[in-house]
Amino acid sequence: MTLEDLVTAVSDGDGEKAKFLTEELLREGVSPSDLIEKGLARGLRLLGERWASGEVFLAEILLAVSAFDDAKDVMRAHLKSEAEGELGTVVMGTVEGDIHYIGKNIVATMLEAAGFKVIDLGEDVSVDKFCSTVNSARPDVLGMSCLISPALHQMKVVIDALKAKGLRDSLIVMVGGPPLSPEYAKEVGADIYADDAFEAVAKVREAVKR
Amino acid sequence: MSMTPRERFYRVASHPPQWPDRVCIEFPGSSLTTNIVDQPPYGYRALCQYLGITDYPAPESHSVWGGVLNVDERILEKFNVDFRYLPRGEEPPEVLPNGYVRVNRYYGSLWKPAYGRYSPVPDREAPARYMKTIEDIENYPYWPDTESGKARSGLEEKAAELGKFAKRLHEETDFAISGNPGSYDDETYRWIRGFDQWIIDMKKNPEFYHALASKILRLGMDKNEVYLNSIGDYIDRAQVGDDYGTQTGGMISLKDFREFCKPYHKKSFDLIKKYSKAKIQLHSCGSIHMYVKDFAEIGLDIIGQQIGFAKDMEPEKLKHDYGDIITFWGGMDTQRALVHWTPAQVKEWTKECIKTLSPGYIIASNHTIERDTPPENIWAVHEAIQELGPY
Repeated sequence: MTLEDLVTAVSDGDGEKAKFLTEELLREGVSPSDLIEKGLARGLRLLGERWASGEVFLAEILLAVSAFDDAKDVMRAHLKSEAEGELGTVVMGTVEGDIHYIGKNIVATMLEAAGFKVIDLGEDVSVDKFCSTVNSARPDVLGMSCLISPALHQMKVVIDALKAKGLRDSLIVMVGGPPLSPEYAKEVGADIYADDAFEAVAKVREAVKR
Repeated sequence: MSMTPRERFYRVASHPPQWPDRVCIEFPGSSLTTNIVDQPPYGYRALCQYLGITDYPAPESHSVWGGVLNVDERILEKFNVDFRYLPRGEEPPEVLPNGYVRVNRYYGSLWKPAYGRYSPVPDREAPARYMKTIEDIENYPYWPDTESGKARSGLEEKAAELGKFAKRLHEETDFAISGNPGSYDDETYRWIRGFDQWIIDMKKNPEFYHALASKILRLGMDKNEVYLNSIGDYIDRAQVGDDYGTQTGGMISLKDFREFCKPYHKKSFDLIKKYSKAKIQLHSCGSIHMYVKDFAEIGLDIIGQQIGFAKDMEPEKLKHDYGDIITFWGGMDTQRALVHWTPAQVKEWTKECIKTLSPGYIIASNHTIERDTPPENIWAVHEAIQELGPY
């Protein structure tokens, strides 16, 4: 029973096995941070490589993310608060008028696996909710997701509202979703646009380093 | 030589496709995934106003999806639309106290208001999510009552009415008649069980998956057979739908598709072919390039819709890879091109699609034309078709 087994369990999307291995490895004294970094998160990174080469599809990503979440629940009790989110904090949500969540949830879990603390505001998130959370949590990054074009303009409304409240300057804003393009992201004033969850994580990591 | 719309349609929908006199047109359409919503600031009323049509009948929108079902005949004529549509006469959904609706024709699935229409509820609230065993499937409370024959007798009356209407359209017009007889679709599975559970069942509990998919297939075919029996002789196109693509590729591997989805579609297509000579057309969102050959193998004639705006769905690639075995439908993107581009850019793209994908091409929107699409851009598609002229 090794961290390597945990990597395989996550990348194979085997939630039950990932939970069992997490419990056992914690009992054996493996530190929570090693479990995440060398086990669970590595499993997702491995999947990222398979995704890039076209070996796996949304189905496999969804199962792996679910296995990661299952295992993370098991070890939540063992995590010290300071161990979470060492790379920074990301507030995420689907904009008002849209209730789609699959893509947003995958990005949220991937960011968590990469070492960010994620505050997920859910779906159909109002401008006020985005602004008040940014104001209170002071995240490094705000991520907004949207799947339907009629709700897309909300991204600009949120960004403009953040500017008006003086909350935009120190914040990295990331946007994503099928109706978006890099050009549109630029037009609404976002800093990061990504095509998929793996690219999103890479770009957020890069952006917070600066 | 000028052709009738029906002749034109059959030429483009044959394999390999034959050249018609001009591109086959379904833009803007008036059926499930090729239509226009009735919502400001633009939408259906803005289009009518732009075209100088002020005395149109009050728009009737689909009770779940929101698209206008009774598009004014003058609009279809102005755009030279080659299709005319059969309504399904579906029961309105049941409105629940929390504002959700329950749609009984989709076996009790729950939908939540979203921008003037409804979207499926989040996975965690899906009504059949609790099921664990095959017995749970049988005891699910939202299956139609097929045993007493009650469900079927109501349908038969409706289908007979529809059949009369279809016969009249078929005999008195030369349009390509488009019907929606229904088919198997994995979307129904996802709506009642949740998208993630669809995948989990497939991967972790295939026996359960096949039991539920078979139940959905059986119930669907029972209903579809009633419709096909009435309209089968009069329709030229049978529209079916499902979703297998994301923006960046297929949702599931080809291996999983062949094991868990393709056999059900085949049975459903076989039923359509038993009752009708109609060409079968499938809507799917997203990138579905990887499934096209398999769909063609089981008798699909036309596939769409997100041509040009999802991975591997570029017109050149589709034409090169599958142009001889299937006809393409769609291309007029409702997320970016029609919404954000200038009329000149829309025209350029329209011409590119026609030049690249013809003759096996039906020009249509990539999905519902939403309220954010300016009428100038909708009309620009028509102008581009006119500028290109006959083939």
